[in-house]
Amino acid sequence: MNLELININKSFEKTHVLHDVSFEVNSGRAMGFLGRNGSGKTTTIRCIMDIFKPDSGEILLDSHVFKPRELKVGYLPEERGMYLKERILDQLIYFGQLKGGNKVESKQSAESWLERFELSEYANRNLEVLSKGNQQKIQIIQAFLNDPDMIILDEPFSGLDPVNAELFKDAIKDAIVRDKLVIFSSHQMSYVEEFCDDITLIDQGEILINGSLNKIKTEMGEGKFRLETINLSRPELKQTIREIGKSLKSVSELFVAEDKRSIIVDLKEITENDFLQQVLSRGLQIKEFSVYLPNLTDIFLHYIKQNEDRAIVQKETDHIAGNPE
Amino acid sequence: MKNVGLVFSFEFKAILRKKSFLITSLILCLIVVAVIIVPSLLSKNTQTSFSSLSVGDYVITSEDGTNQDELTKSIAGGGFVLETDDLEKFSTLSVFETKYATETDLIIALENDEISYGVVFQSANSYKFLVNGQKNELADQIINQSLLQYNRENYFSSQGINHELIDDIYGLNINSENIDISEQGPGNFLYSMAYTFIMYMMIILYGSTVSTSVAREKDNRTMEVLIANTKADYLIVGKTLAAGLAGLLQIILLIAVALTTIQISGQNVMELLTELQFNLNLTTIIATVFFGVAGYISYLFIYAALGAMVSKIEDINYAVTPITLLFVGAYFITFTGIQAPHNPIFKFASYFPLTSVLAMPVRSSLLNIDSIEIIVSAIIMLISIVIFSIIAIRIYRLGSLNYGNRMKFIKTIKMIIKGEGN
Repeated sequence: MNLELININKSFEKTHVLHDVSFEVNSGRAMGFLGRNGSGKTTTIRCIMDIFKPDSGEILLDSHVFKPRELKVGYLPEERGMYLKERILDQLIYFGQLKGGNKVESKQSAESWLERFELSEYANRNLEVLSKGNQQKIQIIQAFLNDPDMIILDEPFSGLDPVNAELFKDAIKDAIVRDKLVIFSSHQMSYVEEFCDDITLIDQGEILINGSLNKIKTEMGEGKFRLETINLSRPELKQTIREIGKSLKSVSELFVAEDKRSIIVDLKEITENDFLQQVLSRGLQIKEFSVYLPNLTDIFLHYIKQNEDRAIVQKETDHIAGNPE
Repeated sequence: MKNVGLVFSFEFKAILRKKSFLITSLILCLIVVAVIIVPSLLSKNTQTSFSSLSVGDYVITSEDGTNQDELTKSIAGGGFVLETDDLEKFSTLSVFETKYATETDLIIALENDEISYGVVFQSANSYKFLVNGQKNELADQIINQSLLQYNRENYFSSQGINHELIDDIYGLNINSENIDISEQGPGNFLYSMAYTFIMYMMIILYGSTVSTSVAREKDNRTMEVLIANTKADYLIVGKTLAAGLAGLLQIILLIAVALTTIQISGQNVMELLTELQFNLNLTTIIATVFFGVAGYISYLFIYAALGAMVSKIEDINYAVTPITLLFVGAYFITFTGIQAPHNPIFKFASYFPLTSVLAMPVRSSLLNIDSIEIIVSAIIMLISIVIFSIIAIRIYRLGSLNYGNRMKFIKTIKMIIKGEGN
């Protein structure tokens, strides 16, 4: 399956929330949908689920108009809730039936998921008797009922302890292995990085990047290396690298970034051997020198900052042109 | 459409399982039983009615059919003191249990519960009736009537007049019937009152149930999962019908309890209905069923839509107040109309969709109105149901995901006119 959003626009009163949002997701690959608070993730997901009607644009599934209620879609919304005063099994069967399953298969599916999430003993109790974390698990079960073809999870890990998060991770991995289309929105980058083959980054209602996570990492890390030394602290190493850069007239800037243990250098304008010679000639003892692949947080921060800088430039340009928004 | 049935079934079972529903039903049943049983119990003790009694040769009878044993029982167990010689031939004295020499002796006997009441005959036309905390108005009236009769007979005899002739003359009655050909039987007054009250109770009770149910789904965030899985239209229709049926079920239960209680209490239901003089023709019955069901469903749709306009359950009262006030207005107009069915406001109300639910069946039961009037009002009602349900579904769609501030009604209607919520 291939889900494709093409130029989706959505406004609420005078606020234009989504600007030509376009990206695609394929089954058998999980897509991490990332963005800051208020960036438009939930609105986009609600448009996919036909909860909000887009003002313009198309949502296609395998090149046909996507109608979520005609397909088995497991949906875990960000604003989630279920009936507190109803029996857990009864309401899971109800949700299973609403998704198109019959009573028998919805019951079987609900019981199997309750067992998997170690909640079978509560099947005939009201939801309100469960702890908040266990209520969260019931809501997750609701999304996985009746073996959905597509699973859309909006901030699924919030409220889960590490043990339950592990159970949930297994469920998502299973779904991916079984060729399901998984869209996964989260602020917890480590989880996204763990499951997602693809990412889509949205900011201020605009898609900044969409594609294979590995490819993005490789592109962002091209020519960059991680360096860690034994005999210099990070500030000293940073200073030394800057000095090496200045001494090489053909190189504009070697230092790119630093993290807790190492610094990142850009060697696009110099060969690795020349750079290492410079480092060794200054008496540095190398602990690690490796190809740098950015993590998801780096990617996220990089693109968000780039977008903010662009917005500032745009604002200034508009101001100069006498056309302030 | 399958999902309408699913929503309906889930919601209906949820309502039936609710403690509040069960407790309300139980309380209402108890009230119905009490309303039927208590008056009859009270009347047995103190309120046995009789319009006239004749006392003859120590036999007490009632002309209105009051049970003779009951009357004898009421007057038995009393004591008396005779302070005058004028009543020695007063035949009613024989029904008394004991004769006392003085009023003091009688009071002591009364205090010791030896007698249930006491009478001190001071003269032929004056007496004191004494009780000790337990009234016995029946005995008092019987003594009063029989003493009056005794005095009259004595007076007529002393004047040489045949008292039976006088009785015949004063017993002559003129029977007249006041008939307004535009009105139906007087028993329909009670029918109208009952219909108005039942509909008022159902709409207020179940309107509130359905709006709270919708608001709660927003409050606890179940709404988004629901509308992601099925259409908002199916949700609101399923919910409304479930609350509607629960209300009807409760009313049927109350009617069944009422009929059973009447039967158990020894009264015959058919005789009672005959006594109430219900005069319902087929048109009135059809109008009652149609306007009752259609109006009830219309109101429930409106309440459901208003429930979707709030984000927090505690705001629900503010949202439903306007429609509740409107309905209370309809109730008062109809109530006034029951007493003055030719009132033009009442006539208008029987056509206006939000008031015709009460006014048209009541008008139809009280007046001989033309069937065409009922048909016109029914058409207006049907059109309005379609309009109300469409507006309600759109408000529900718009409101279902509005988790921010409470939606303003006028603004929401403007949004619907612009085509949002389609």
